[in-house]
Amino acid sequence: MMVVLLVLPLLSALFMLLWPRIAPLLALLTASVCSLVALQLLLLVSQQGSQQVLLAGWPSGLAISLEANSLSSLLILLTALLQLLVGLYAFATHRRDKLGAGFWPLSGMLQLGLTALWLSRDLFNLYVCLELLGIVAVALVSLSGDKAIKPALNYLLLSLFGSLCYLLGVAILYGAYGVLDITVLASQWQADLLSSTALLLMTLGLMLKAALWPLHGWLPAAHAAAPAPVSALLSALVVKGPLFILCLLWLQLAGATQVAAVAPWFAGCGLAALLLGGVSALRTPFAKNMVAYSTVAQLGYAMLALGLLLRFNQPLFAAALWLFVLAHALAKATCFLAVGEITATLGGKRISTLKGASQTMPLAMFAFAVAGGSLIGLPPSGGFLAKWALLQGLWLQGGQLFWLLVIVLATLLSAAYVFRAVVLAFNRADPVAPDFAPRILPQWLALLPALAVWAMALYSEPLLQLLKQEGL
Amino acid sequence: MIDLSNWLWPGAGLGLTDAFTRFWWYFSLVLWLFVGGFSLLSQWHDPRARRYWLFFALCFAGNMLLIAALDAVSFYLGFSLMSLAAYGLVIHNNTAKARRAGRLYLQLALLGEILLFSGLLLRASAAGGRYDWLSWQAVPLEPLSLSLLLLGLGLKAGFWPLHWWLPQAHPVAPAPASALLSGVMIKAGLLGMLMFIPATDTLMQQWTPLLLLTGLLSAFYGVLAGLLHSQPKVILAYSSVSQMGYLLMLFALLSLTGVAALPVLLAYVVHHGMAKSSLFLYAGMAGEAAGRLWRQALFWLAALAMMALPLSSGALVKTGLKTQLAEANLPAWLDVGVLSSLLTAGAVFTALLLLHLAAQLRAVNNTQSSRTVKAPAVTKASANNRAGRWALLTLLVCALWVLPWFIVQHWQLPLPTLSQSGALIAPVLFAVLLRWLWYKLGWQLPPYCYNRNAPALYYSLKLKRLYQPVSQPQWHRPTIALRPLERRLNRVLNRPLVSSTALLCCILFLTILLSGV
Amino acid sequence: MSPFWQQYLPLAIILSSLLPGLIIFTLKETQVKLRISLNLFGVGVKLLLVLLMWQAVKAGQQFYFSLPFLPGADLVLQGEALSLLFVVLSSVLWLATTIYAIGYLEQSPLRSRFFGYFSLCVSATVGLALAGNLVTFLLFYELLTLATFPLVVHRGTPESLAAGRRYLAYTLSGGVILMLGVALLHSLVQSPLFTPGGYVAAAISGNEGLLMLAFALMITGLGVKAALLPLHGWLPQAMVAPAPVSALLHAVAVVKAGAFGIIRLVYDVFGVESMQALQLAQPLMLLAAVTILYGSWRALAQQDIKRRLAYSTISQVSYITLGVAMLGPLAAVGGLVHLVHQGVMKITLFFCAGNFAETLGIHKIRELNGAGRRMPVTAMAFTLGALGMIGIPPTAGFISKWYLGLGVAEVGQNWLILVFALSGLLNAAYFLPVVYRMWFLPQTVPWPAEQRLSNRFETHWMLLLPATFTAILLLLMGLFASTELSPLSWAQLIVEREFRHD
Repeated sequence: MMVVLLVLPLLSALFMLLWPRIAPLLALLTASVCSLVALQLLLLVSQQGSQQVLLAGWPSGLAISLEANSLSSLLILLTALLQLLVGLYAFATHRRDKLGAGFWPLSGMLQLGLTALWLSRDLFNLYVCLELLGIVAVALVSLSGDKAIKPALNYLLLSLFGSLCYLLGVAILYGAYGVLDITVLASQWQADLLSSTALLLMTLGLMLKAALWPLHGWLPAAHAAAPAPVSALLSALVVKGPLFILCLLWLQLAGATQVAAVAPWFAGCGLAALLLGGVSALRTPFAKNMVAYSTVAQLGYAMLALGLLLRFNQPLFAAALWLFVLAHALAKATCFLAVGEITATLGGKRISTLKGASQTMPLAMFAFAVAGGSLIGLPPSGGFLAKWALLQGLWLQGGQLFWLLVIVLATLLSAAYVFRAVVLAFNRADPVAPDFAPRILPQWLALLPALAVWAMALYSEPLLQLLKQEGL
Repeated sequence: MIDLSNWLWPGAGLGLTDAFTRFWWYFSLVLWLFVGGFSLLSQWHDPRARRYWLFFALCFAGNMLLIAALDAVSFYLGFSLMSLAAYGLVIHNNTAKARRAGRLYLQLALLGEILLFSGLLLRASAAGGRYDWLSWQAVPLEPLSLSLLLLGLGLKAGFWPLHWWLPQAHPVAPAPASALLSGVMIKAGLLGMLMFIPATDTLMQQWTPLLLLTGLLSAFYGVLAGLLHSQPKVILAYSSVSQMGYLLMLFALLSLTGVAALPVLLAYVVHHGMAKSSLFLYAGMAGEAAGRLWRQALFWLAALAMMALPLSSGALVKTGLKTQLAEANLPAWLDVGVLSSLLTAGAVFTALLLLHLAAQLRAVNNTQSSRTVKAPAVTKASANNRAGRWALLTLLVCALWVLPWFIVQHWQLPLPTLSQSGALIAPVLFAVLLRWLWYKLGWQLPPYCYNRNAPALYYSLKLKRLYQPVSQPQWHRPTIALRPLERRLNRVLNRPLVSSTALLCCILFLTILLSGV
Repeated sequence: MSPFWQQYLPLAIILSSLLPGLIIFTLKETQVKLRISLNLFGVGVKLLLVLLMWQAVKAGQQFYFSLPFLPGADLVLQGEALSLLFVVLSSVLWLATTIYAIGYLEQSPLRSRFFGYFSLCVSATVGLALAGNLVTFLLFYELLTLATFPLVVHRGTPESLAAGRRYLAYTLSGGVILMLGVALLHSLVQSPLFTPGGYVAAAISGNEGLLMLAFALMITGLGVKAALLPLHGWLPQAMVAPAPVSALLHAVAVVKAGAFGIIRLVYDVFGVESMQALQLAQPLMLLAAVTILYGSWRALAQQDIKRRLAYSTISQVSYITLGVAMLGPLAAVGGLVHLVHQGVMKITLFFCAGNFAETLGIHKIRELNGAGRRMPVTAMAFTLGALGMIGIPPTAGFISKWYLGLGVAEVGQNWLILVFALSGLLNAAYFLPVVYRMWFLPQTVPWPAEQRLSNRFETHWMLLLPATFTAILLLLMGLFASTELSPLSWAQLIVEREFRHD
């Protein structure tokens, strides 16, 4: 099953290169099949526990091994579904947005890279996936044409730099221990300077790729420059890949002293991301930049949760971490699609373009607001669940008033930037007239993930249980 | 008794349970209807007659309700209905003066209502959640609730230190309205005291001398202040202040002599109500009275009744008051002899005030009649109207002389003896003498002492400025200009992205590593 | 009476306004008839369902509906006496406001959106009333914020946008702080059903500080909507919204949600004994008292009718808080009954203010001279509302003040009587001049913008009817306070159940 999930996108990407004409159809087909398979996998895993596959029948140690626990399968399902959705959106708007023919195979490759990443438990395989993701993402960004060249180039350079850092770390570890499989490595782990250096190198590389504060500089420009479906994919999924590896490293590999030393750094970075990212999102004059900065800020939650998890080892924080990732993925997809749709229709990239959007494009604006609600953490959305888990964890730890204060501030900041846009949309005094008649279908597509993130509340109990146990 | 507690508020009940309330109620009803009939004639040509009747009816309903009320809430309902609706009557003439007086009246009425409300609350709570005043009789008073009740009801009753609105509001209202205000409505305050302050209470008994003295002061103050004014209706209003002082004394005596003072009080209320009403009605028609002997006679009949000429209703009640005072066991420091001589002095003063009133009325009549000479001849309808009004007034004055005797008979009060009558006639004669001397010798105070504006009006205006401010101090948020700072920051941060991020990466690596991972 | 529909009745009450609201969103501007009938249909169904529930609850039944949500805190809807008090209030006033809004917005654009959010707002309010535990309450509390925001900014002018921003800044901060408090309490004692007498008593020992912190956080969060003193800033500004919105905001939805939350918190979460053990009542009482006086004082200087009414709301709503904080049964009756009475009185006043604005273009108090002659029915309704606010019998306001006062005497905090007395005087000082202008002063200048909305009445009948209805209602509630139908007897029933638990 896992093999199908990997092979199908690869094959379809190849076929798309051969027959570009049927590329959209193929992509949608692949994505829907993958979604079904991923659902199957999730059910299987939830019934029978983790699944492991060794590729091509090689013995363990030599073969590429794939491991699917419920978190991975959940993430795979999310990836496939978002791919499907974004594919549909891109298909619905491809005439207007003139998305290059390259989009379809590239998105297939993106899915391949991500799926492989969620399934790998080997430092080198992870590196390969990371590299693949990076290259594809840069290519996708550059689909926008000339205006995206500079951000794409920055992205490429930094992505390569991050990969190099990561690779260096991997090399050091390989030199020291001779194995790269995480479980094996963890059993031989010694918390010495060498391993610390390697870990740190890898961490910095990953942080750079995941755009975690303070290494987030490339993200707003790149995400804002990319076409709407691409930015949705990048923000919702791609940045989560390195984060996943980061969690693997620190939760499974690192020794207790290393964890204790680095936890405050993570939490501090998370804090800074939340506050500074929030302020930037609040102050930026461009609509897509605002959404991109919001990604930086929201990743801060994940960092914060990771830091707290490392510090207190409270399973609620693990749940919070992954709930943030899931909720953010869905909400951010909506945000980018909705804002992309609005800015495309109303013609302009400033936030002030949104003036009167609640009249001219009520559905897209509604989608944005609904997704924004989840970003803020209003009940009963996915974002609320995550925040609730975080708050519960903090209160149960006792005496963590500082962090609580930070969360309150961050929530208010996110409310401020979301509603900055929403309030503009309600401006009836001088609305921006649309360049052409707004289309309904893309707006509905944009709304779907937002509804999904609010529907997460219905499954909150099983989700919380699952993520508490399997937070890696 | 009508039990309404399942319909209206808890404990609601209406009824005339004892002879005392019944009598009070019927007396008020008759007086209201009578004055209502009078105003039917007097307001015939009033362009704002609808408004007059609306407020008249509301006041009427409120007054009747509060007398019939058996529980605190019903009483309060009637009381506030009456108080607020009376505002409409006070400002009915819509002159600047009327509006000023109305403002003062409303301010004090509301203040009184709030005080009464608080007092009633405390009483109801002390009575364990029962609202009927009959069951309150056994509940001991506290100083706070007693003073709240006294102040709240006293502001309506209008005796001395709480009298401010009377001399302002009575002159500006239409004559029948002033008649009712002075004749019936201010008595509501007294009735409230009778209902809600149990006379047998120990605290009340301790406070009795204080109330007695207040009443006495009020009686003298009213006369003295009235002598300094020349407007007939103002003089009448001050006379009301003075008379309410006597009533307050009677009320205070209730707690010393028990129920014996009650019929006297009732008789006093009836006497004052009718006498003051007729005087007010007369004052309202002052300009029309010139030259007609029987019209003058009407005035003198009413005035003499107030002066307590023997055989008049005034004589009955004044004697009653003195008897009660003599019978009461006052504390030692209050000498009965001094008190009763003070009462006699009070009678002189009352007579003086009424003589003063007569003189001022004559002056008004003279000026008015000199003016009406030029006025066009009266039509037949208005002549009938006028005749009707005079007829009604005659009826009222007759009733004034007759009705109190029925009370005496009904409650078997002692009739004034001959010596008492003599004691009554002496002050009147003395007052006439004094007045004559005064007139002959031309005693005058400096002119600025006369017709002074009441300071209450000034404070009322001050108060209005206070509660209708044009602006209020407001806290303004300090504005901090963050934008330049942000701009500068943006400029600083606007650096080559790749190299700086890479540099940052290295720095982070070194710091964290060195910090001891 | 099958248990099936009994279980779903609370949900059905919410859906009866939610579903029409959602459908209305999709309607076109031109489908006026369909929209109105949908709206009225929703109101009718809701009233019917509420009536059913009211009878069952009076007979002693309880309704319970739950969905799994967070661990330890399901989404629970519960129909009992206290929640029903609020549900009845909001559904009845929703009826009045809907009719009013239909008349008020007859010519204006974007009506579908308006009525859609309007229905959502009521759904959230009713949900809040029916919420069975703190987490559910929190959920509806936030939804209410979201549903009312578009109504506040409905006009879309710069002022209304500024008001909307301010409104959001306050209410969202409040919501976050409330969430923090709820999470804290949840971590201590989970979030069981609201129970008379509270459920924190078992956890008091050793957790005093945390419980006090939770209480303070939640009061802060609720205090934003209930406009307690330092958190009241949004309310006067939010009155730029259209009149039906202000009416709903001030009388039922937002402000009352905060007050209702405080009632829930004090009686059903903490409970009287725990409140006393933790000594939480005194500060709350003090805060409420200061708010009462401050609101009244600020109302004095306001020259805009709706602004004055808004400050008056700040003052009046704190009566409820004060009544609750006194922790005595009579005071509780006063507070609860004021929840209803204040709603009806304030909605009347706002309806009237809207009528003046819509018919004559009057916004300032000084323009009201002689309005009583031109619009006697409206002016009469306004007068009744104002008298009620001052607390003059036989209006509804008197009954609640009477009970609050009795409560004061009962718990022996006599200084509070002074607060009531002062506030009563201040109320009179800012309402009576308005009444005076309407009735006693002649019209001197032409009306700012007069419209003839009706040939037979002084204004459009849809504007006139709701104001008359609520004015009569407030008179009836004050007059027939002892009857079974009156809010007073219902409040007494609640308090009986509330204080009987031990």
